[in-house]
Amino acid sequence: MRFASVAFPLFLAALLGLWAILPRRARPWLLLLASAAFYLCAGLGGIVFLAGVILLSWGAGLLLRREQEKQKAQIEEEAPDRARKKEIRAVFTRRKKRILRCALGILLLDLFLVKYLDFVIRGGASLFGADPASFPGLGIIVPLGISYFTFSAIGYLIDVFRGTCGAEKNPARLALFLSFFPIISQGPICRYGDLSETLFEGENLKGENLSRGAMRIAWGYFKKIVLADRLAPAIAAIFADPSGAGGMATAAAILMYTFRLYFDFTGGIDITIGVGELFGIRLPENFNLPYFSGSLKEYWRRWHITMCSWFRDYLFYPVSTSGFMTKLSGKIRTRVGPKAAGRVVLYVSSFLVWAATGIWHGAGMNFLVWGLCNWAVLMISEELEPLYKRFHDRFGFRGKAWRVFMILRTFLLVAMLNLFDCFDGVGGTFGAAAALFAPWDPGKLALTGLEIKDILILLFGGALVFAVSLIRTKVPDLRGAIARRGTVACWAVIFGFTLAVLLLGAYGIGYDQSAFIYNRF
Amino acid sequence: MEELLAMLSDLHPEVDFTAENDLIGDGILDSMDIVNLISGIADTFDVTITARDIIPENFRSADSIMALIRRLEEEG
Amino acid sequence: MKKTIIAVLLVLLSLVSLIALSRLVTPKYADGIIEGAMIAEYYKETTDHDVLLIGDCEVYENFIPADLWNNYGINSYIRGSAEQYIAQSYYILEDSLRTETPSVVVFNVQSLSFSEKRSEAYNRMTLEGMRWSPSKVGAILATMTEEESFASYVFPLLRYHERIFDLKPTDFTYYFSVPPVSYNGYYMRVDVRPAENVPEGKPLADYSFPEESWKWLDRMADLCREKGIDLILIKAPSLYPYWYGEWDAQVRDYAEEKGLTYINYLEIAGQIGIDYSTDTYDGGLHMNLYGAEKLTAHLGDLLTSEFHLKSRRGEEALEAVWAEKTARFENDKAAAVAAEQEKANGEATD
Repeated sequence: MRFASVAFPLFLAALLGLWAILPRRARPWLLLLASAAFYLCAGLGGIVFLAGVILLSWGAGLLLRREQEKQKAQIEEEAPDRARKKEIRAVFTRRKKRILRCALGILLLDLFLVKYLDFVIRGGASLFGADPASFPGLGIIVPLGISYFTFSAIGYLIDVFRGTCGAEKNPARLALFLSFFPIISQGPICRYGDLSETLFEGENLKGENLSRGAMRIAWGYFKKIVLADRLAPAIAAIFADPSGAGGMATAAAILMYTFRLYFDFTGGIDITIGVGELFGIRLPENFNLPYFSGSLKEYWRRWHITMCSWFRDYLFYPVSTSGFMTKLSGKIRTRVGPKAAGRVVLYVSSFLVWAATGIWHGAGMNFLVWGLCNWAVLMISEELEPLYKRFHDRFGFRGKAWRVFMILRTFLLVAMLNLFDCFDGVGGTFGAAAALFAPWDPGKLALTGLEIKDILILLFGGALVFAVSLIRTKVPDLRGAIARRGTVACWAVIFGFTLAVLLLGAYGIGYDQSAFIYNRF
Repeated sequence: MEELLAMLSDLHPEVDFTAENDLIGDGILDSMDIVNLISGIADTFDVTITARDIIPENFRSADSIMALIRRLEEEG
Repeated sequence: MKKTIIAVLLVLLSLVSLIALSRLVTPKYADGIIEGAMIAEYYKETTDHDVLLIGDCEVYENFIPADLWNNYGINSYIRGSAEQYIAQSYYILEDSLRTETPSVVVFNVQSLSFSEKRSEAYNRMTLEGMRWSPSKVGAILATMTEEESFASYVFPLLRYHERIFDLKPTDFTYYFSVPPVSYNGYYMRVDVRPAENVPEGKPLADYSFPEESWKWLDRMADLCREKGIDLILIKAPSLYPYWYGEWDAQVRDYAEEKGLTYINYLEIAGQIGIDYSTDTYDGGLHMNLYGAEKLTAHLGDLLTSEFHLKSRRGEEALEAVWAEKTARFENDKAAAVAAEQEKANGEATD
């Protein structure tokens, strides 16, 4: 069941009705049941897989918990001195590590088999000179949201291992955490410690939650159905043959794709978070006005925040503080100097993180190249940092105009990097990039198939999103401000956007209800 | 404490680290800074900060970083 | 408490405006493609009919209920729509029989020849006009194409939202009601285009009708038998789409087996005086007024002689209704014929 379907709002309405009449304790069960139903709509195979991941994380969590309890009991019993205490800890840490490695190994192997094996085999085949297209593929259907629930499960286990969150004894609660229907298809990636605070509460429906949630949902649908889906066919038309479309149309398509990605992904997350709010469940924010970033580094702090922080906390820090890295940096420090040591650690760890981030987005060479390009740009700008500083001190480029320039520059950079996920192969991306240097013929813009009415809707809608974003830099809690104006104001916002979606949305016959872009990842 | 402050201002000369108390939330320290800081700390104080210790609470201010170092020395 | 009342009022206001908007963007079919308004027009009827005719353009352009009344005293109605699928015919029959039980139902068998779902636009024109009932739900589920959704029949806004950009004045004029577009389901054409060089049908690999089609015809026959209604199968004298002899034989066998009357008007066209140079308006696909008059006369004779339908002339209520209907029909007919005449004269003097 997609968010952008008639069934989804009906499904939500039925849930809200049941939620209201059920006693508090039964409500999390209702959510679990609803999540199972939601997931079943995507196929039977997927749910078996999901259940496996749930059981595995539940069992491994309990094993980790048992070791922790044993450790505690032994320390209490022996009342050891410091050295012995350290010894006991080391023994149990080793045991826990073994459990964790086993569990993560299985989870990652699963993910690899389902999502990446075809890609690897095809890559291998082409290395040996075979035609990769001749390989039919294993035909494994990738379960919906596999990357999201696998990553959530991994995060949970590492948190339990580190002791930042307790192991969950009740498998049903863990099942709800991993399968919660608004987040299953495109995140955000949640942390068990955060989400469990509100997920199992079964809070009564409240006017405030309902109106805030509905406002956010309507806004999300607006961005997704009115703007993103209207852009989709225009972009596809140009990217089908960039060299034929020429420079101007290709440039327009690249910009449109970047906007579409924003409307689609943030719109989807708005719906997700809004749905959570209806039930009093607090989901983590995934975006913080990313296209207002002044640098790529800043952009990655403000775009897909939960994924970035996942990679930071569960990959970047562990790798950069691992024994191997510490040894390596120690050697370099004594031979070359402390600055070089820090750099090597940074380069190597972030290389791994970006390679993984790239692959996470999809099983394809283009995604890997995309990740590594991001890495290269980040590292180069890190190196150039002192140069920038000197430049600034000298010429004093500061203030609003400079900031706007930086934002535009970053936006264009992101747009060019995103070109890697518009095409199946790296070749297509370079083809499109090359097309930018083909003659700029404004007449070719007609190839987008956009009519005057489409352009007007896109311009007004885009301006609205821009204006709301600007206001949110001053008034972070815009919905709160609207809610304080009273019921009628909330209704005007909700109904206004619902109407806009129904009337101006690019859906129905003639438009495919395009899947949220991030469903694939 | 002096050594730590020196290390921090080496990373961001423009910040007064004795006054700041939300280094992570205010976006002063990013992940790259933290990695640099950790390898510096390992060098100077002979303690190993592992990934499990890298949580915002431990890096909020110079004081909280110092507290983390002391605790790790204690457990050492 | 006050807050709840406001909230409820706002929800109601939202619903009412959505329904109002939905009506605004839904096509009215009051002019131009009037076929889209014909299915709904039936529900304005106040009398019980002796004969219902069901099918596609081969029915609604070929028979004239006004003539059946005036010449035979038979009160009839055509529930026809463009490209009506046989499943839709069944459900439209079922829908009609919920409120009345005619003596005779006439069904045109052309639609037996295909079972694939062909066109969303025609579906819309047939299904949207039906009143909500289990029959309508059945009809939608049985015949909507892959790209359609049931929801878009419940909320037509989902289908027609893009029309908000090209609303016509008629969308406002006919917002509340659409004036009658047909004459008891009859779609009148008075222009003439002779049939010339109609090609023979290309040989087919398989002449048997799809199982699916037979199933719906069976259901129609069963329903009529249950209600004690005589079912007449006809094949209109349209030269195209081509009606194969192999097809004809199958229908003939079926009619014999079920004890139904089957009339192939293609066969008896000459006998009842159909002249393809004057009686069709599009080269043999459909009959014009003159062709329809001849077919109606044949059907009227048949209904009276074979099916013993008695003339209901003299029933006061019926006479009153038909007086009005006949006046409108004769009036429009005279105007259309005159206009056609003028056009022909104009062309002649050019």
